[in-house]
Amino acid sequence: MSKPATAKLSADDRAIFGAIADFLVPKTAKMPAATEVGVAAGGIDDVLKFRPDLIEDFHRGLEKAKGLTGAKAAELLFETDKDAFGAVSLAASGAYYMSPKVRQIIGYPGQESLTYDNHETPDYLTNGMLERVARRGPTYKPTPR
Amino acid sequence: MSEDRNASGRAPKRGEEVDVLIIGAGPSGSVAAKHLSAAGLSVVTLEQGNYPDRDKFPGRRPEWELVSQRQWHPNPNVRDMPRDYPVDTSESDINPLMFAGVGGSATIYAGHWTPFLPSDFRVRSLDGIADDWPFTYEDLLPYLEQIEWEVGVSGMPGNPAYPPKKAYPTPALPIGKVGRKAAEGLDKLGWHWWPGTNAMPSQPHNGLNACVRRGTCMTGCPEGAKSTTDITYWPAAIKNGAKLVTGARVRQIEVDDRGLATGAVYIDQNGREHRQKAKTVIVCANGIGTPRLLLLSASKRFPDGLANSSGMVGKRLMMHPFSAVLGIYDEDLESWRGPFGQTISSYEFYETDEKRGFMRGAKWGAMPGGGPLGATSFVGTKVFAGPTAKVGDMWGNNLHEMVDRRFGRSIVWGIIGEDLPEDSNRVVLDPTMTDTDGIPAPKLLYKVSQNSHDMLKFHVARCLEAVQAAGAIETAVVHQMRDTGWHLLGTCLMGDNPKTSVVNQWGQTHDVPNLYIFDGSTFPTSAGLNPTATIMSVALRQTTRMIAERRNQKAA
Repeated sequence: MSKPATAKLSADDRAIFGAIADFLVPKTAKMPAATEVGVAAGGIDDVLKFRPDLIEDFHRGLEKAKGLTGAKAAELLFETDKDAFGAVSLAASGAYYMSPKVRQIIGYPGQESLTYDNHETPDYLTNGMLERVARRGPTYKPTPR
Repeated sequence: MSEDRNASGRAPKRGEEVDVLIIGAGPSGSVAAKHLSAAGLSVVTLEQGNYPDRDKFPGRRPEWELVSQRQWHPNPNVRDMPRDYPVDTSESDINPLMFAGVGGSATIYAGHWTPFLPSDFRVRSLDGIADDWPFTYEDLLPYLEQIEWEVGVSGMPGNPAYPPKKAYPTPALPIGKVGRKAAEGLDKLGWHWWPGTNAMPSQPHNGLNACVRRGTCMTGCPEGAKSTTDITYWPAAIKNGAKLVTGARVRQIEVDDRGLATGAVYIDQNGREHRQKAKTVIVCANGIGTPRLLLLSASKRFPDGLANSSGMVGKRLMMHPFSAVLGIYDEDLESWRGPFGQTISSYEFYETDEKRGFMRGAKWGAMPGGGPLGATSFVGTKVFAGPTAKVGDMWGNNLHEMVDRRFGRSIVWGIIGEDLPEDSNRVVLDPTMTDTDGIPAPKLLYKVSQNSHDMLKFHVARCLEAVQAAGAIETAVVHQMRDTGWHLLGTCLMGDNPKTSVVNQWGQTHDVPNLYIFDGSTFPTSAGLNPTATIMSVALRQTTRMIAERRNQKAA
């Protein structure tokens, strides 16, 4: 039996999810593990708030993962319940890449606003790249008469 | 164009008979509403969706990638919002993508501005297949040039893929490191490329702000910089006296004893039914919604659906089979930065060359790769994983390695191939599925043709050459993606012969003289290009004619 669709997670739920998340997103020399950046704490709460459609599959995945290691649970879900695996894995990666610490390490400032001079002459006009295209002449077939 | 405005100076009251009823406030319906109201006609537009709230677009928020895979997914069956109608795709190779709201599906388009070429209007004459349009590129050009100023296109003039034309109203957007790298490969091969033309101004224009390259175009532009008609057309239309009714789902167009349209019956968001009377009706509900509504409007007089004496309503659905080529480079391309329109495009293999083994061609558009979740997916669909992937392939240390390798270093080439019309590809009414108001949903019967398959295979192979010429260290290909039916065309064929087509070149249905269709459903062929520029230009040409002929219009 899966739990009712709720975004509220127990400590056990977080522990099961954390183990799977750390298998899917492990610690490396450069990157922190998922639980090190709060994926099983505030991170998963945020994901389920933004994506309530994941809740049901997510809970079913945790239910099936009870008593298994993170690795075994991930493999089981991947092989037998793609929807549950999709929800758990997206929750892990979604929360991970929303972490400011992770974004800083991978050099992702988020989708940011940039200013630019729209009248600045682009380099492709000064280095001859676009001129080479123009010189080859029209490529379209004209309307037949 | 006359600017004498609605003589009464007020919006019509609910139920009051108006000169023109427009069904659908997307690109074509908006063009008609603005220009007809400016010419003094009373206009009511019924739109099933709502007015978009820019503050709700998720592009500025950290959860942007996460919600773009669901609530902002372009497939209405995935999004499953109350204002969307479901589409039965169980017998379709491609899922249709659309959005219900003022501005229509352009709310979530990438803004690629690619007018059809001269050959696209003469496919029969040039290639001996499909059909010629009843008019030429040159006939449409003045309307295209006007639309480009109203829309606020940015671009670099002089593209040799097109005949000479008027300059764009705003300079081209920066092509960024992504565009420069993509161009490098084409330059080495001596192939055509040109800086992208996009429906996003590079400086404030007609109510739009300048594009700030946030790169979240396909989940609605939070900057108000991507050109959609809620910004560029509706404020003027409403000022002219046009009335816009949102949350209005039309279930039937009604006709009188003489077979003339009298208006439409619609259901509001509270489930109440209303009747809007009009002297003339224009349908602008896209290549699926329009035939659906005509089929729903069957009556004793029109037993096979309204305006369907030819039997062509719903037939010849074209959705542009699409493949994507991903190139990864060993350098920082800042490939999360926008625009998520096209940074550059290539028309090198656009025109027919029979030696290739297929007819017609495709356009390529280079786009950035998105954020870290985008390293494994394309527009919300997890496609680069491959169907036989194992859990360890995409996760564990491999996830970190993949994001390290791909994130910020990727280019996605989108390849749009011309979809040739076939009667067997069609829209019908689903016998069981309905929308939330109980109105029968559309069902698609659609197979990707051998010509499309061969075309995409050829183009993918050439595109890989270009990607590699630019120095890619890794490539990935997705052939014929399923979630790519952005362009819904062809299901209410335009032509001169009432026995074989639904509307004439002015969008007037052959069977019902005061019923018109102004959207892309009338297109005889689909071109290998994003169609919004041509949809809006054709709508302006037809609207201009309607204004000129207003005194001669037969009405109920």
